[in-house]
Amino acid sequence: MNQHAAIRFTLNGQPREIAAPPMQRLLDVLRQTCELTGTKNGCGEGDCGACTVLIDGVPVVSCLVPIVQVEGADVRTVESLAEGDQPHPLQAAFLKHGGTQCGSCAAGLLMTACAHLEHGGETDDATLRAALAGVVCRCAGYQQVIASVQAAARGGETLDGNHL
Amino acid sequence: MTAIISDHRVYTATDLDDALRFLAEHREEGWRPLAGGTDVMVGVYRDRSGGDQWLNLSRLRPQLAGIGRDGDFVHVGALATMTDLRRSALLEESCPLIGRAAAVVGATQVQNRATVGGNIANGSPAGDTLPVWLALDAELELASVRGQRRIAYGEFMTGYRRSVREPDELITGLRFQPRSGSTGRMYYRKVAPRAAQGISKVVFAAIAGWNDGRYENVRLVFGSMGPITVRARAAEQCAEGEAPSAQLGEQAAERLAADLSPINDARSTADYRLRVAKNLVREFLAGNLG
Amino acid sequence: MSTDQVTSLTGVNTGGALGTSVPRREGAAKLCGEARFVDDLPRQNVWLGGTVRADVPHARLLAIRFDPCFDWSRVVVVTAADIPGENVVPVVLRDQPSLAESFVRYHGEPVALIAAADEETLQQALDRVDVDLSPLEPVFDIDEALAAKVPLFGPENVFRTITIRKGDAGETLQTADVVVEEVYETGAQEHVYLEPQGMQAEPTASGITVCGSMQCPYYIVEGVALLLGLAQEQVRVIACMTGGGFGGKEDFPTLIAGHAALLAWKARRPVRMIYDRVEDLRYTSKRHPARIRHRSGWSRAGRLLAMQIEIELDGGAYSTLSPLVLQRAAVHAAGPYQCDQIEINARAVATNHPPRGAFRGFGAPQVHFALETHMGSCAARLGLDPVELRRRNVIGPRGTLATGQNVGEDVAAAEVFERALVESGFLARRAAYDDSNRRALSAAGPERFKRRGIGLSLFMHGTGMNGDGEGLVRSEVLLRGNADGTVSAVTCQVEIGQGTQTILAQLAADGLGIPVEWVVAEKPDTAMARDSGPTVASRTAAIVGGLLISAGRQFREEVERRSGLCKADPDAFRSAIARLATEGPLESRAYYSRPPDMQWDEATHRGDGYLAYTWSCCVVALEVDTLTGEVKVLDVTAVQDVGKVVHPLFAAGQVEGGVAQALGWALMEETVWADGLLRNATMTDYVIPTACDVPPIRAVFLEHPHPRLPHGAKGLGELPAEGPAPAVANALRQALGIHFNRIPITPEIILPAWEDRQQ
Ligand SMILES: Cc1cc2nc3c(=O)[nH]c(=O)nc-3n(C[C@H](O)[C@H](O)[C@H](O)COP(=O)(O)OP(=O)(O)OC[C@H]3O[C@@H](n4cnc5c(N)ncnc54)[C@H](O)[C@@H]3O)c2cc1C
Ligand code: FES
Ligand code: FES
Repeated sequence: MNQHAAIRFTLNGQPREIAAPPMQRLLDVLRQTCELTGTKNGCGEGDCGACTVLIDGVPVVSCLVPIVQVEGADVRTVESLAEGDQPHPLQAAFLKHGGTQCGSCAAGLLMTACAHLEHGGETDDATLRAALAGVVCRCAGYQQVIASVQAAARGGETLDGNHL
Repeated sequence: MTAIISDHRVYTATDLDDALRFLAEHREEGWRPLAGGTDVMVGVYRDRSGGDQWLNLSRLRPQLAGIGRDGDFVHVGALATMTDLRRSALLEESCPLIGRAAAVVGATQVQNRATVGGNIANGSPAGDTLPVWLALDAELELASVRGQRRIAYGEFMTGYRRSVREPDELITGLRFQPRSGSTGRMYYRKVAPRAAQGISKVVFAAIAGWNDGRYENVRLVFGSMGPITVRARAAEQCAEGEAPSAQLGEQAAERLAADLSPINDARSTADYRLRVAKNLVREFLAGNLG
Repeated sequence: MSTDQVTSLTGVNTGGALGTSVPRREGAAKLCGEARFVDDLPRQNVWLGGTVRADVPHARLLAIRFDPCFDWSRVVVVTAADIPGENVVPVVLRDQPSLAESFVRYHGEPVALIAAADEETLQQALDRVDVDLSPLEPVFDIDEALAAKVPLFGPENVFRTITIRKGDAGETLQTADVVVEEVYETGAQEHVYLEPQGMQAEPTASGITVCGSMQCPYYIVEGVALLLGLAQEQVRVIACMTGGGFGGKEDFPTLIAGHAALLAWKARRPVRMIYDRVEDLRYTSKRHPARIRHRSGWSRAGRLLAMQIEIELDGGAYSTLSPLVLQRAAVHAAGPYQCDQIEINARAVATNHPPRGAFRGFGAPQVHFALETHMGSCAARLGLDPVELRRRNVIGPRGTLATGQNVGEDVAAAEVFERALVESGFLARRAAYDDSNRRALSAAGPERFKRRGIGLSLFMHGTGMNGDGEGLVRSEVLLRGNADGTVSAVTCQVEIGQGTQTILAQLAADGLGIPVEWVVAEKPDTAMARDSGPTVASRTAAIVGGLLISAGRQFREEVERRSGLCKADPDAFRSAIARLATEGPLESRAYYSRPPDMQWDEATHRGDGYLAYTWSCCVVALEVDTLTGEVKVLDVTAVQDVGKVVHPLFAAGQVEGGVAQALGWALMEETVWADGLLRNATMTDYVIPTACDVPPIRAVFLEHPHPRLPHGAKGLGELPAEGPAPAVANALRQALGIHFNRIPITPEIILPAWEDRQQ
């Protein structure tokens, strides 16, 4: 009940312990306390999806998650996707097929798509559009986003390390 | 002066008993439950409203998130999320409208956190699962240290965002009797400003039993058509015992104004809402929908 | 051209990089979450700034009161009295103050600024300021503003008036067989760039550095220098990665940059200002709402004899870019048709709405909506097929536009039109929809309530800034050889998602004749780059890219001359660059100057309105649910002649994004105002299309290079956003038999119109 709660959770595979006001949103903890700024704040109220991260493998909008509810959870952000120089297949596909333009929605789309593919979701056009509907992209009109996710699901999207 | 974030206090209950005991002990202090947080957090950050003392329910999930059979009833725990509802085979077979409603609450990210109890307790007129519970004659379970009580969902809301819930009570779940498509006709429709992630301008759930080619136990329920989710009782009565027909549809649609009180707001107009409601009722009863 | 043609992402492209989809320069950084937008910069020692705003739309400002119970020494406060220089946001007319001094002219106008060490202190301080205002009568309506009972700007509340005359339309209208007159209206649209406005300023030993989210670094240099009373050389502006702009980061950032600079200047420390979404939606600029009246005269056979067009734009409380938006609107208003009698009267009007500003298309989408919807109405009145009507009047080679500009051979209007008909299967689908609409009532299930339609629009977009605009900016680019043999392209064009860094590298490489990988597109920084003009008006690839090609050719000649190499293999050439660059500066510059054959008279609006034009036809197919009035767009086909496609993947991406944005404007993006305040100022209530709302989009490119541009590329950023709205209106005309002349066409408008028609 004290004003700063100590919260333990796993962030991108590493155990973390931080002190924060319990109602502080996960988004701010990630961006400010943990200095992982890949997760973006596009609206702060759940509508744009730019702040999407995975908690225990499922996508959630981190602007609506109070840090107190992250206790014990496994959090993954966009920074976790690439392994060293090796891009995640989604990142490689987004680069190759135009999945990002201004980049503000990229983390949200990538994390949402990542969970969808990890859970074995279908990759037809309609299913993907519904799965990604929680992340708005104002730049791309979604078609190249869908194409990127489909390409990643097909596999074989690799790039030279020097592209990432 | 409104609260700033570091002034907010949270108590994380270890289990249901702990939560109820805490609410009872601090009854006068304005503590409010925090479930998935999808409504609470918007209030806290946008308007800096809604109080600043929260009873965190996340550890109650093992006790309160189940979906299962309870005798003749199907029981849904208050902490079941929209995603849980969408994925439940039992719900799909007991009333497919539930999954359909859950699937149109926000988008995946919100569905993964938004709970049934939160949707009910929040009591927004645009709450998308609420018409289904009303159409199902569902019963809510409220618990406190004083014990558990069951009330019809139709008696829960008393006005705009007001309910009979006492400050020391938690919603623990709800139950309803299964309805399958073969014993009647059912339909769900959300009309929102866009194809996904929209707040309802009109939301409609209809369930009608069949008896010898005639309607019985007709439930025509609307959200976003007044301060609370409502049954269109006059239209229901009109259809009771009648066979589907275009004429019946017309007659019932004309009686909607008796129960619905839509308004003009930043999202839509009263005129539009009423037109949509009439069309949906008319075509449902005529047998063209569902 | 196939849009999914992607060439080697890894191999070195020697030459020929133009027209291939090389990897996005900053793409990997964006996808890994490493790209730094302004709010991603380190926060240590940075204070946060916030704005105290007026809460009425029009008032005399009496006093600003600071609650004595608050410890004001914890924060820094700036009011108009603290401005060291001139209290102005310079755009065109300089009528807008940075902070209100004696009058407030829109709800939310900034009155004071506060900076604090952390968000909570800032919030507490903002809560403890009261602004004393004595309300004045506001005007929100164009007619009321023009009645000029409430003075806002000049004697008539008009920021600018433009008249364009070709022949004598008035006289011809009196004798035409058929005259069609209608009024069209379009609503304000919010950009919803996904990264809200943000700036950070930091005083330095010699002046101040400002970095942030922007399209036009040199606008900010001018603005901050004036405000702080500094020389322009003392102001350094660096564009961060910018999360979308669409014009919304053309003029507005000058205001917020000025605010951050004022706070930083007074606080003597870095100050960051980031708008939250609600603040951004409420108080930043929008697309100008427009009211456009068309009177057109026709022969019975469907020849367009005369056009009289009146345009009124609601410019909001201050002029910002309205004078220029109005100009583009006026010059495009008569569209891509041959008509010899034209009269266009255009006014930008002052009201008490928040100032409007640049938005993709810059006045052109509004006039194209009016004209192309009008063409549909005219076809109906004349009893002619709208396809045939356009065929009969479309501008051809050596035709003349409204300003008298002779388009020469550079005119693909007819070609994009015919191609779009073919690509979309227009005629067959139109017939099929007529058929299914007729049979709908006998169908069972949801089909019963569905009505479908297909519609099109034909339009053009002028490249770069209007008339003298490009000549006045006199853009300059620099290529600089580096010691490792690479070449830096130095401009102040900003990467806002459109692919600037990549495309400019491609164009420079093309001029240089080296692999694109050897070109470094330098980040926009006014300490390094001279003014290469704003990142607007679809001018980056066309104008700045053209300059880079010229600079590249010069650079190559210089290297060849100095090294004695001629047609050397790339590696030898690179070594030569490296050697020469270590010996001393190896640079080449190119400046824009108006082509000698381009004539423009700003006073009469006669002559070459633009360097060149892109041409496009957009086809939209849609389905209406007549139970609810909801519209589902089925697919869109966009055919465009852009001169030269520099990067196929990005080009398709621009079309897809532009179409999606325009579908939003046409169908769902409604701004609800009450007393001058945007009521639906959240992304919950101001809705933009999601992946489920945007249909498959087919982009087809034609390439007719323009001789005035070294590479032929005529620009693409805005064009795709200009056709979908009228195509939607025309498709609805088929689906429902109803003519909608106002957008957004929401279900609230469609359903009553449909039901009344069934009565
Ligand atoms: C982007 C976005 C989109 C949305 N879209 C929709 C939509 O389309 N349709 C829709 O219906 N809703 C929508 N919502 C609203 C919200 O997601 C739902 O109302 C959700 O079900 C609330 O559940 P929660 O668990 O998040 O509640 P919380 O936010 O945790 O709580 C909501 C309220 O209920 C109270 N409460 C919670 N649980 C209990 C309990 N067990 N007993 C007593 N009181 C309790 C809380 O004190 C609070 O007052 C949306 C929200 C967001 C942010
Ligand atoms: S910032 Fe979280 S959804 Fe927009
Ligand atoms: S790329 Fe800009 S919002 Fe998606």
